[in-house]
Parts: sequence; structure tokens; C-alpha cells
Amino acid sequence: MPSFLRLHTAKLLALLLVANSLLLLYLGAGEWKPTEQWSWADIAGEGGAAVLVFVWLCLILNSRPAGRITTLLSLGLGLMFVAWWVDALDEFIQLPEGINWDHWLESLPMASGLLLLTYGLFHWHHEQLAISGQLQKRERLLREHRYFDHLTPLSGADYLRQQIAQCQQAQQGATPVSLVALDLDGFDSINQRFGHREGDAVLQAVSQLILLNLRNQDLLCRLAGDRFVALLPGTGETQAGQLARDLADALRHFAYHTQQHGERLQLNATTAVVMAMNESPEDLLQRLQLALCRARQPLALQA
Amino acid sequence: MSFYERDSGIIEAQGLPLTLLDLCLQRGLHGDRVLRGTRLFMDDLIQRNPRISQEQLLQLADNAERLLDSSDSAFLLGQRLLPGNLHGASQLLSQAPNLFSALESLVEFAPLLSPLLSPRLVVDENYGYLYWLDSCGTGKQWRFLLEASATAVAAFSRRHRGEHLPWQFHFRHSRPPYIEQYWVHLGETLHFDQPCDMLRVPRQWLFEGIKPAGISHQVALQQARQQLQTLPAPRPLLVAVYHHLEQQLKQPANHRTLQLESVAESLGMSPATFKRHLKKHGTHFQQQLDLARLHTAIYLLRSQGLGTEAVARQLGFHDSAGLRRSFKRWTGSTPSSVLAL
Repeated sequence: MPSFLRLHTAKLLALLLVANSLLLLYLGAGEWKPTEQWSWADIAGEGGAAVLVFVWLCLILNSRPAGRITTLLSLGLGLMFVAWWVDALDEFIQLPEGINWDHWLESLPMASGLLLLTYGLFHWHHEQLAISGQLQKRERLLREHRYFDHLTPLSGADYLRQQIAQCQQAQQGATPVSLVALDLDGFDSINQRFGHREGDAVLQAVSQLILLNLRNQDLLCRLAGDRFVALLPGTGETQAGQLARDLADALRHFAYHTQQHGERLQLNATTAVVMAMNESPEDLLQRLQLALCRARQPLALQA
Repeated sequence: MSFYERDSGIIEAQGLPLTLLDLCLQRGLHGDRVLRGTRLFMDDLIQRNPRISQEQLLQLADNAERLLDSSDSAFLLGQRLLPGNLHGASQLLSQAPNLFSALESLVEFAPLLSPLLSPRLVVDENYGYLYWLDSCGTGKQWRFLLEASATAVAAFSRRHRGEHLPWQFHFRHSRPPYIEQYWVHLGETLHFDQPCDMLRVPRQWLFEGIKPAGISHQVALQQARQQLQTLPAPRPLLVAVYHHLEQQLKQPANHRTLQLESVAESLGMSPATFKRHLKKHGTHFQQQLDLARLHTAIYLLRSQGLGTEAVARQLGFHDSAGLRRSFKRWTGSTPSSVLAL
């Protein structure tokens, strides 16, 4: 995983600079309170808030690429940090009577920080809607990053199991639910001839190709290795069979070129279709596996 | 009888260790994190190809499994394991005239080709059976290594023959939650909760020749033998112990001499030293003896067609009830369940 933090070193440095100058300003204008005047509850509360806001800022920066929304969020959190920082400095340094800019230093950054953060969050929501649109066919109503596949932009078998169960529950047998499995033929020989990195690239390309050929309500997962499974809600076996043939055709006509020398690879797949009966996701997947073995059989006999 | 231990440097770092490291790098892991605690360094590994110990390789496998954190790691590793990238031994596998010859080479050159789990091959009139011995105290790594080794054999034999082989897989463990990995990387015939971990294939698949053994096969065999001779000993401690026990169990009269003392003597050390060595490998004498007796019992029942009475006598039990009791303890099931395999 790339870390985004190094994209934002300038922002963090600027914040540290501001915090440092405020410290110097306070030291210049006021003087240290003796230890017995320290209010430990206030120090813990205000100092702790400053530390937490800083942690949030780091987490946000580390998980986002640079951009407008990132800038808004970090400005907002940065100002909130400054406000609490000044608040905490108050506890250690006594400013002489007649100075009132310190109140401004506390409330102005806090108010503007909160406003900027709210504005940033609002835009983040819109960004998230756009990203969810791009994830269509790859997730259905539930997001759980622990189920993401490590290689392709799809989810894995566990997410599929969950979604099968959910889909069956939602449909209550009113409309049929079908599964299509697609297994690449001769994937191992691609790995052997061109290396495993090329094999990975093939899987990534194939997952995009299948996504393009699915309908909006369908869900595609990578079951394992070179085997993909699509969950088709509201689809009977005949229609699913047609979709499976379309997918196999699309793959046959897909002009894949290797990354190194641009060599054209001919891809083929074996497909299988099952319609969900009144059974557990595990049994359904087992039946799909059997159907796929049966579809493979003629291949074994040919060889 | 000579043997090497789990901390002797015998494994070429640019063999299996590099394959494992490469898989990790391909999945975006940092090399230094994968090598942490192995006393190995990236530059060293690439420039010098040091010999590393089983212990170091186990640490590397542990790191890799933890950091890859994915149910397909063992299977991806398995796909890359055989024939491997060693001079001689790997070529020997690729050049083998038939699958039997390839598997025989895998067994003979296990210290080079499969340094952690030591494969064993048994062929009877119906089937060829392949199973593995823990050659270094793999502990909780056993499952990961077993899945990788089984995948390696299935993938290698498919490439070698150019078609899918009807391997049948038997595992001691129960059906795992990530069963889809087994379907895709191993095949359809899977049995769980079995008395022992093994795979088998109908005999004719082993001997149908693909090509006659050429001169290059001879050359590779010579090279592999030379490689094997550069090791401090031909086999790891636990395999040497197993081998000795197995030999003794095959001769019915000898079972009474199967005491820790006599085995220690034949390995050329004192009983106390022997015990210490076994402890270092995470096991003890009784465990090793039970394992050899279990495998022998399965072999006699299944391949030799002996009755429980005869098997019990050969293994040194008073009667078949004694064998049944022990069998239950070793595997959780009865001797007759072996016949249903």
C-alpha cells in the first residue's frame, strides 16, 4: 500500500511552524506559571483534545491523495488544533493583564476550523457518492474492506457468501437468483510462459472486462485464483446461461496484449450456471463447483 | 547414520526462499519486513546465495503468511514451487520420462526440492500415494506448508502431462472456510477429517510415459546427486528417525527392540542427546513411533490387504483390540475406516 503521508509533508510542517511561533509569542508576552497553579484537569482536557485532533489530521492525510477536499479537511482540522493548542498554552503561561488578543486566538481558529471542516465533509459526501457509482457491480449496499481482494478491484469469496445470503433473504423466493462462474482455461500456462506478474495483469484486465459485460444490479467477485463468480439477482437459469455465453464470447474476442512485449494472448474460459434453490450459500457454491467440473470434463477427455 | 538438524545451513537461499520472497514482493510487501528475524538480508540473498537453515526458512514462511494475510498465499506459493529453479534437481523433474520418475526424484532430492516437508511415495497395484513427513518441527506452519506442497504436486503433474490429473486429496483437518482455494488450486476430489494427509492417483497415470529418458535426464541426475553430496548429511534428523523406525516395523520380530535407547544407539548418540535433539525439533520419541506405526498400519491395511489381527501382530500389539484403541487415539477413527479411503 502506498502511504499518502509524504504527499502532505508541507501541510504538516506548516502546522508545526504555526504551533511553534504561537509558543514563542506566548513565551515572549507572558511568563511561566508556577507548578502549583497548574490545573491538571484543564491540561488533560485541552491538551488531550489537541493531541486527538492532530491524530485525526494525520489519519485523514495518510488515507487521502492531495486535492481540494483534502485541503479543506486539513485546514479545518489544522485550525481546530491551533485553537486547542493556544488553549493548552494558557494553562502553562500567564499573560499580563490588558492583553486580550489571546481570546481571539482561541475562538477565531475554532469557529473557522469547524466551518471549514463541515464544508469539507459536505464535499467528501459528494465525492463518496461518485466513488460508490464507480464501485457499482463490485459491491452491493454493504462496504467492508476486510473482504477486498488483494489483487483485483473486486471482493473475495467471503463477501460473495454474505451477499448470496442477503440476496436470497431479500428476494424470499419471489424472483430467482442465479450464479455464473467463469474459469479461465490454461491460466497456468500464461503464468509459466510470461511469469506470474503477467498472470496477475491478466486477472486484473479480465475482471474489468467482465464488469463491463454485467448489468447494473449484478455483483462480481473473484472466488479464488482464476475463477470469477457473478451474482445475478432477479435472473432465471436460462437468462443466466445466455449471460454466461456472452461473457465467454467477450473473453474470446478480447485482444489482450502482454505488458512486456505486447504479444497477443488468446483467452478462453469455461463457464457454469446455477440457480439458487432453498439452500445455504455454501451448498450453492458447492453445486456451482460441481457444475463447473462437469463443464470442464470434455476438456480433460480431449487432452 | 548421519543426519542434519533444523539449524544446519542446507537450503540454497535462491531456491525456495527466493520464490517465497518474490511472491511477497509481487504482492507489494517490503522485502526487509518479510526477512525480519530470519538473519537474512536482501543484498546478501541476491549477491551471495547463502545456505540457510530450516529454522530460518520457517521464520520466513511465518512472516510471509502473516504479512500476506490472505487465504490464497499457500496456494500461490505452491503454484511456484515445482520444478523450482535449482541446477540439476529441478531439471531432473522437468526431464522425467513419466510422473513416477518425477515423484521418485522429488522424494530422493527432497532436501533440495522440498526442504521442510519431506515427501514419501508408495505405489501399490491400484494407486500411487504421496504423503509428507514433517522434517523439522514445523508446528503451526504445517497446514500452510501442506497446502503449498499439495498444490505444488498437483500443478507440477498437470504441467508435466499437459492435462488435469485425477488426484484425490485426503486431509486430516476439517473442511476449511476458504474451500474455494482447494477447488481452484487442487481439484474436485477432496476428503477432510481423514486419518492422514496424503494424495493419491490411479496407478496408470504414474507410468504412462511421455517421452523416453534422454541423455539430459542422466546429466541432471548426476548434477542433482553432486548437489546432494555437498550437504552435511543426506537427510534431516526426523526423516532419519522415521526411516529407521519404518525399516524396523517392516520386520515383524523387531518391534520389541523399538525402544528409545536402541534407536539412539543406531543413530550413534546417547539416549539423553537423542531426547534433546527430538525436543529441539518439537517432538518426542513416542510421537515419532506412533507416526511410523500409523503409516505402517495404513499401508498394511490398505495396500497389503492384511486384516487388523495380522497388522496388530506385526506392529507389536497384543491383539487387534489394542491396535483399534491406539488407532482411535492417533486418528480419531477405526482401522477399518482406512479401507473406505
